[in-house]
Amino acid sequence: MTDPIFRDMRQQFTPPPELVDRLRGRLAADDAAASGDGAPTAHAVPGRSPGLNQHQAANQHQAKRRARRAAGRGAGPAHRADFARPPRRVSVPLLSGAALAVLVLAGTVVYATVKGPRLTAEPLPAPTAQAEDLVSSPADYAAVYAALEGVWQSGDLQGYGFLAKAESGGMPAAESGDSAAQGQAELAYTDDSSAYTGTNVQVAGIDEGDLVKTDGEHIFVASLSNLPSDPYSDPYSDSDSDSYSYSDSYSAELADISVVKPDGEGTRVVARIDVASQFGDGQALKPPNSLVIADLMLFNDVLAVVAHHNQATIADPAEDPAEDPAQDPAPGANLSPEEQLKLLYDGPTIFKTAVLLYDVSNAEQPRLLTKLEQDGSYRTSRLLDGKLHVISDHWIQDRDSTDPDDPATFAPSIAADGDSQVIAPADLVIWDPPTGTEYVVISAIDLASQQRVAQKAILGGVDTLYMSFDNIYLAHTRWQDQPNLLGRLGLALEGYLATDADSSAAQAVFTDLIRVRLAGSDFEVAAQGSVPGTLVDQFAMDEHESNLRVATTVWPTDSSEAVSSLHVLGPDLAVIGQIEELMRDESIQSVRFDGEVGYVVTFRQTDPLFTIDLADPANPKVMSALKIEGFSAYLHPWGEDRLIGIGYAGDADGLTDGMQLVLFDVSDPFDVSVAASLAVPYDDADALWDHRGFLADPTNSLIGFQVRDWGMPTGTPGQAFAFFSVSGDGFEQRFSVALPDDWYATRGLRVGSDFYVISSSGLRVLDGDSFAQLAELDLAS
Amino acid sequence: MRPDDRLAISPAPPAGAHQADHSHQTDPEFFALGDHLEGDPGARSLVRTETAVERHGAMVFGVAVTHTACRGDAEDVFQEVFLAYHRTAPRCRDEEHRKAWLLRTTLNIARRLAASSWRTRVVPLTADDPPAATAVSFTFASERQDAIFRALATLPEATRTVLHLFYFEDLPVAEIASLLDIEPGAVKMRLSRGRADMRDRLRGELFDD
Repeated sequence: MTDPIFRDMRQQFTPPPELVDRLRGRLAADDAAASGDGAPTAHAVPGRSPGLNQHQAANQHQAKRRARRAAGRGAGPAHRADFARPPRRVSVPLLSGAALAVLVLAGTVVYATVKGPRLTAEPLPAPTAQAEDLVSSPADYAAVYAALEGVWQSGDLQGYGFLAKAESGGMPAAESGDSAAQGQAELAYTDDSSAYTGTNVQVAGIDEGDLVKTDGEHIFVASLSNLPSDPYSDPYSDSDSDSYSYSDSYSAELADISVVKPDGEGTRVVARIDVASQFGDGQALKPPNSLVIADLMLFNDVLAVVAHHNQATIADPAEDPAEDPAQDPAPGANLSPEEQLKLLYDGPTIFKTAVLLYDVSNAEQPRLLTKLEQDGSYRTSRLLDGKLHVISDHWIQDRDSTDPDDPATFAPSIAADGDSQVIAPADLVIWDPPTGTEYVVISAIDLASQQRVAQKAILGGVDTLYMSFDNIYLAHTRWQDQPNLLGRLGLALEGYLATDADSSAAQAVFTDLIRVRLAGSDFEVAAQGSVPGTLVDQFAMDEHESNLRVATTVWPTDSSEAVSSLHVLGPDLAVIGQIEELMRDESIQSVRFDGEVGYVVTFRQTDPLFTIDLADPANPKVMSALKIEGFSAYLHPWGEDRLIGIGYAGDADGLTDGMQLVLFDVSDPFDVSVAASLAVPYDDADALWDHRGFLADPTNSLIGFQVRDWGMPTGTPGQAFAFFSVSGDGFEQRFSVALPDDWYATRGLRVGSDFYVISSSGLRVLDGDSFAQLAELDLAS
Repeated sequence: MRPDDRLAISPAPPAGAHQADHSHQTDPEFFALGDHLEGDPGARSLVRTETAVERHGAMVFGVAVTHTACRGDAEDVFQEVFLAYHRTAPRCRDEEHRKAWLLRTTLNIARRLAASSWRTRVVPLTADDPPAATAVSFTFASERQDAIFRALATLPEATRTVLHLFYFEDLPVAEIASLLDIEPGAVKMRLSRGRADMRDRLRGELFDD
């Protein structure tokens, strides 16, 4: 299937013998250290990467606490407060002669540019036209097809875009919470809804889908099932009963819902919904169809199950010239298992998003109410006022499969209980010009009546979504070729010459934005805009008093230095205020908007936390820039005066081993400081990338999240769920429960007074005070 | 951080033997995983690791090369991956499982290393220093291969990973989707766009669909 040149290149990836020898040396040394049972040596990888050096950072406060709690144990080295940077070094890569000559030439030229005036990617001119001029509802399907033809003919499929950190998530109820101060030292932050903790969401009041949902009475968990519903199950497995999935990815086998009655020691599974079995009109779904649960949503007595409903197809080799005609596509022909798998199901996959609504008023006997479907790969969902908004991405993959006379082949369809219809032209929106052949499909489903009340499909992709109470904002990354310096000089070189492996010197990147207004039970595409740069995740957008605040990292075409910036857009998504250059040579790692204040964490050299005044939308101003080491990947406001950051630890040289929790004192935005920090000696945590993995329990002044240790360079591999108390003073570790290695997307909840640590594989119940384990359930079938 | 660095890769499933190493933990009582995990200590096996290096070393190194900034970093990643494999001694059902474990670990470690070395790597300050054009830090047997590699290096990581696994490791779409924890459709989308990008960069036919 692939050209021999790739096999040839692959051959050259054989590790050189001296590298293997070095590895042997390290393995032997590691074995000796481990069996010696002494303190293992710090494994600084010889000479190359200071970032992997072992370094323990614990601040003095934490050291004191530990010393108090356990006399005799040594505290870690005190936190270094100075930020002296080492002198910059030059790293000279190995180069072949010819390449070197080319590079020196280009380097001189590029250097001249770098030292010249800063050229940033120019944002698109703010749209001066009315929104109606930029979008159109096509009069009929012929107009839709014409728009698609335009895209195909231009060959200009825009905007690859990056995937957002996590598709759904939200802000905690921090904004509405009251802080009941009990003296200076104990800034306890409490919350009214103390019966149970919900999903950690971006906007309080707008729920986001997750694999675990509770209403305080029952907990619904998307669970692993061994049903052979995955067409990509392991072809190497012989046994019929063993549907071993190639990967341990949870998304490959989620097909059941466990209904759990939370009851401390008496916690038990009271029902199990087999979603796939009820989908195919009484028959279980079989390959090549698959149904995999993606998210749950709960509203009153209705449980919504959002699932990927995909159908694999077999490619027709005759149509695909890349296929080797000598290969016989029929399984069982003279092909190795690998080759068979490649040919089987190698055609375009048909993606649909299914929404199943269940009546769970009697949770022990859930009842299927209705099945709704929409074309497209599921992206995310939001719940507002009892209406479930489901967003999917329908990509017209193959021009040849479309038929101008059959709208179903080039426009998305929706279905209710099996009745399918193409979305009407009046509900389609086409940008002028359309940016690709993907539709964003938005459905609004009223859960009380179990009806779809509105739908809209917009021809144009979406990468990140943010929903406020009034609007849905769709963001799409767009890469735009710009002639690089060499191109402008007329030098023709094969391939691009990048000044840096991480930046493509000849492409500028923008984020296009669409505002979809929630008009009663309908949608209305209201505005279009664009900002330079990329969004780190959904938290980079926030609406406040009709204005949209957006933080982006801009990648100038003529420099390898990223620029972090902040923009305020009006209702027409035109820029009304901005800080074009928050920081040079730093990229944004995390953002949190909190009313009239915005917090932005950037990272490269000085890693500041910026506190930005957004009271005047036309004049955003930096109030303070706190230099910290390491960076936070997720920010969580805590009460009025504190901001929690969870991220990676660092020192003057860059990132170090392990993570850290930082408690920022934001009581005076002009003088933000670190109130406390705690080293969390693990390598990674899901919550860094998916905010839903973060448990915030203000009622008990507690937070929790899963942590994982890769066991390198030193340490014990494994994962756990860790709980910490939070006070105005800082963090205190309370407890950690070790988790089996195959648990994924582990969530922590509190229901009543007990804690539940849950994944699609199982559940642990912990006593709310002592964290003693009260019960343990296996949820995988 | 490049926009595509946030590729959602599910963590590799280490299982099995471990060593009770508390040296770097602030509170051994709190973070004592050792008592909870199963597996027999001493399941480390140099022979096992050596075999893995022999069978999958090129795959690990290759992924490391295309996912780090320079050869030195790739060598670091190579060592870290097999060191982790050696210590963790994951229970693997079969060779494919082992391969998947190694691939995911390599991608994870390469990303981590790229994040940290990107922060400390320098930008040349004077005209005398060559630019850090580390896209050419690894050289191949022919100009054409070099060009392919250079072009690949300029792609966003998400596309690059998929292209690498598809072309260099010959993995089918389904496997790539599994390994990267993304939808097969997303894999195909990236493949298709990656091919288009590579076509543009190379003005060649190598990447026609």
